[in-house]
Amino acid sequence: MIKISPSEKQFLIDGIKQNMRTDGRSRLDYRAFTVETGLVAQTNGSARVKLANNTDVLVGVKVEIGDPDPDFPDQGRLEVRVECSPSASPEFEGRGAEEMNAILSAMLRNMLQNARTVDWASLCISPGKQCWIVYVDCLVLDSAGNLFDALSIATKSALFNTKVPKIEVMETSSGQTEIEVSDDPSDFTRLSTASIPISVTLAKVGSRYIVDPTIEEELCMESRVTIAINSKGNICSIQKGGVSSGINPSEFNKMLQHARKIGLVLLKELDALLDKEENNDTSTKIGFAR
Amino acid sequence: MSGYKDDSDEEMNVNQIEKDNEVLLDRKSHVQMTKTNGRLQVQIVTPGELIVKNASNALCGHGTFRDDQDQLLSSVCGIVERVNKLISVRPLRARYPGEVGDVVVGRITEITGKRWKVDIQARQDAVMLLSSVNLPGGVQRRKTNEDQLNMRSVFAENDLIVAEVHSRPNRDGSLQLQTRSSRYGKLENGVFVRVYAALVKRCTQHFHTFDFGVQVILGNNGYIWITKKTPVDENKQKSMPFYTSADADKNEAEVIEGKDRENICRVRNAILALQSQFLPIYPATILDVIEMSKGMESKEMTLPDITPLITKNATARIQKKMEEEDMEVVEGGY
Amino acid sequence: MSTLVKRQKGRLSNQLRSIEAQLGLLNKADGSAKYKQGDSSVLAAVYGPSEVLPKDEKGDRASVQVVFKRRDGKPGRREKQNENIIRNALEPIIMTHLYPRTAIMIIVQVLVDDGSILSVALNACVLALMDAGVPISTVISSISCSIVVDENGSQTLLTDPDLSEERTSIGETYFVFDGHVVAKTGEGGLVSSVTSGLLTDSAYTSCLTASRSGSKSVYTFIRETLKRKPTTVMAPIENIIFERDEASSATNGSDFKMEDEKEESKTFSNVFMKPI
Repeated sequence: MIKISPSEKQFLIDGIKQNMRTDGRSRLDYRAFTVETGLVAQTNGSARVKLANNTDVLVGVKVEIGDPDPDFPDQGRLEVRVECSPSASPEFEGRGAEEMNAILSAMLRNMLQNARTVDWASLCISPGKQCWIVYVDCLVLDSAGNLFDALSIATKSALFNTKVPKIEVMETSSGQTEIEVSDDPSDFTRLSTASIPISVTLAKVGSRYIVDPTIEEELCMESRVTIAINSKGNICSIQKGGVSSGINPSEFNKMLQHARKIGLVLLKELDALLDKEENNDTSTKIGFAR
Repeated sequence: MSGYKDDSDEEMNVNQIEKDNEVLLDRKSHVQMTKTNGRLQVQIVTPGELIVKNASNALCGHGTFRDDQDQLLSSVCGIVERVNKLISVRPLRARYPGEVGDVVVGRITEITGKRWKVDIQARQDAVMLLSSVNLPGGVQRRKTNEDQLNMRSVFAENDLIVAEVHSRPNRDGSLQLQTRSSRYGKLENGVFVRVYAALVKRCTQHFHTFDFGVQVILGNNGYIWITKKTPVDENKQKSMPFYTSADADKNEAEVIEGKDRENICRVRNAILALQSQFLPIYPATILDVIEMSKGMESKEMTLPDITPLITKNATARIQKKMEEEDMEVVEGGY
Repeated sequence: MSTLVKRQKGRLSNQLRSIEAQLGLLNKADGSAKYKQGDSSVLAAVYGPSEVLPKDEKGDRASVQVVFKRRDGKPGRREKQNENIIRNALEPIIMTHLYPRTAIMIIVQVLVDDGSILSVALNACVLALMDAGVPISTVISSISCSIVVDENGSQTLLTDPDLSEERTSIGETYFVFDGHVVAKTGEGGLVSSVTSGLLTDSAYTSCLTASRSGSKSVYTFIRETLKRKPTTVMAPIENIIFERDEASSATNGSDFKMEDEKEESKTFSNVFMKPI
């Protein structure tokens, strides 16, 4: 549990006002990221994101065949779960992390559960009866602030890395449909992840906004707004959290502009990185299932 | 066998490593070294490993224990250190063990009865009694009941303080702190950094001022405080480097800005860079890093590809220091 | 019982999977270790010795608590059982009398379960305890064994089974050995033994022997991981991979090829924006 004294808080707030945060960043600077994909066995896709070496998030994606949502019979289904591991902090042990898990899961679900993010229709196998269910399983191993953004980047990377096995739908003589899932590991389709957004969280500290807060800065923030941006620059979702203060509508517009600018830069970098990972991947993975 | 004459040595049968290594006992730094391929390296032991076969005359320090055959075994993974008969193993990363006289930075966690409980990155919170603190009013006076009720106005929960480790530890192993001198007290208007306790070496001075106007307190427990240098008060004999709660009532804390703030950021990032490379933290190494980072903005110092570069000089300094100590042993006769 | 049988993924029946370890990766924990055997991977974190809740406080020693978390986080009876098993193996070797009235919390987070997860978890915990500098009297290590029956009805012993092998086994064993004792005398040193399923006496003994030699390899690995590269006084010891030489000999047969792992992740270059 990180604690902070009123005097340190004041120092931090002053710094943000002067555009020099404790680590030297300006209000809109992001910390360095690392992304690794495809490192977890037993999943269809996975990614690990480390923010400044301190926030560590692992996302695994599994796809299974099952029943579609009765409200959306011709679409695939999404199940998102976020779990904060007690390894990140002893206060996450037992029920301690429940609230945190619920908030983070809801945030991710809201961002992805949209028809325009992933082509859910393509994940339908037979309308009303069978579809692909995409299980997104997130594990927070270490936390040093800004879990929202780290999770969204990790999720997008994991979904990009996901390989959905090719299937053959056959009609049997008795009129029933049988699904045969291909065993061949090189026989797969990819999810179309180009439209998946990532989130940019703006935290309000004092009278200013900062991007990518550290855990000490999160202790000083009054409210936060998490804005999901996709590669076209569209705003996919806006979620506000935090106990105190509302947001001035005039400020709001400015915040959206900044979030959009930052989001687009992050997305471009992430896409380039993921493409590079892809090309490296194919050369090393030769016949892993003997 | 060991190279220098020491009576206690005859009685001890120091554990020989492999036949093609030579065992040297470096008296100065008291770290047990082995010479492999002509290069000196520190010896690392793992738990349960034999340090000394016949330990009846040895003193068991931290990280060691005696088994039923009177052998001295290690209980942690770390470096063997020897001061005459006292043998201990220093783990590479552990909670702060605490020594009397150490200067520490701590955070108040609780106020109970007549004492504060302080987190100093040790196994247990330290204790600070009301009687060990300088109350506002300066001069020593009798503690009244009012004082007890007003403890929070002196140091409240989550406040940071700088104090000294006082006399013996309590029966349950927790340490006692005191803030009797005017250089100790509440810390305000600065940045707190947490590093591994083992990286802060014991020196004569723990309050350092850099030329460019930044003051640091390097707590032996790995808690560090960075703030702006305050001018020496002409009227008082000693400078009052930090605001005490008495001062806070009188004047608003000055807002630190501009170049001062940037320098504070730089020192903070330098310390974190040293920690990431597991280098000891003291003014010379901090300066080394700052020198090397002159050309870049302070925020760039935290990038993972940059930290090895800016800590190169500091690493070289440490290597050189170790080699100097090694050379004494080699030349001094073996 | 036949011993040298080829398994599904090309391993021999008494061959261990490749071992990897990484220490000190969490920034808040006092000690942490990520330990992998093949695809089974566990992250262990140690917090303490530190302040204890009054209800857990023990007047003369530290209170050791273990939390075992599955990958999907769902708590269950099995996890509670695993917590007890691991605590029973670790508590005797931790020098708890040095820290009365404190708590040592050990957290096991399963990242990937591909068999032998209890052994992998225990080995990870030992590494994490050493990373945290918690005094322990010896290094213990664990290896699991399974018994499978083939079409002919003959039983085969498999060391370090993966998940598919565990699922088809008729009996499973998990052993913890004291590394020093085994290294010195080659026998004895059994700290803990948990079995399930059908095992004959001879099967049990064979598993015991096979596990013992397997644990020697793990013990050597743990020791070597921590002794490497002491170049500066405070040497960062992380990212060491030991590749198991696939074609090595019968009994415990692990040859370790030491390699420095290069950080394989790609860096996301920094995003600096103009201030508003």
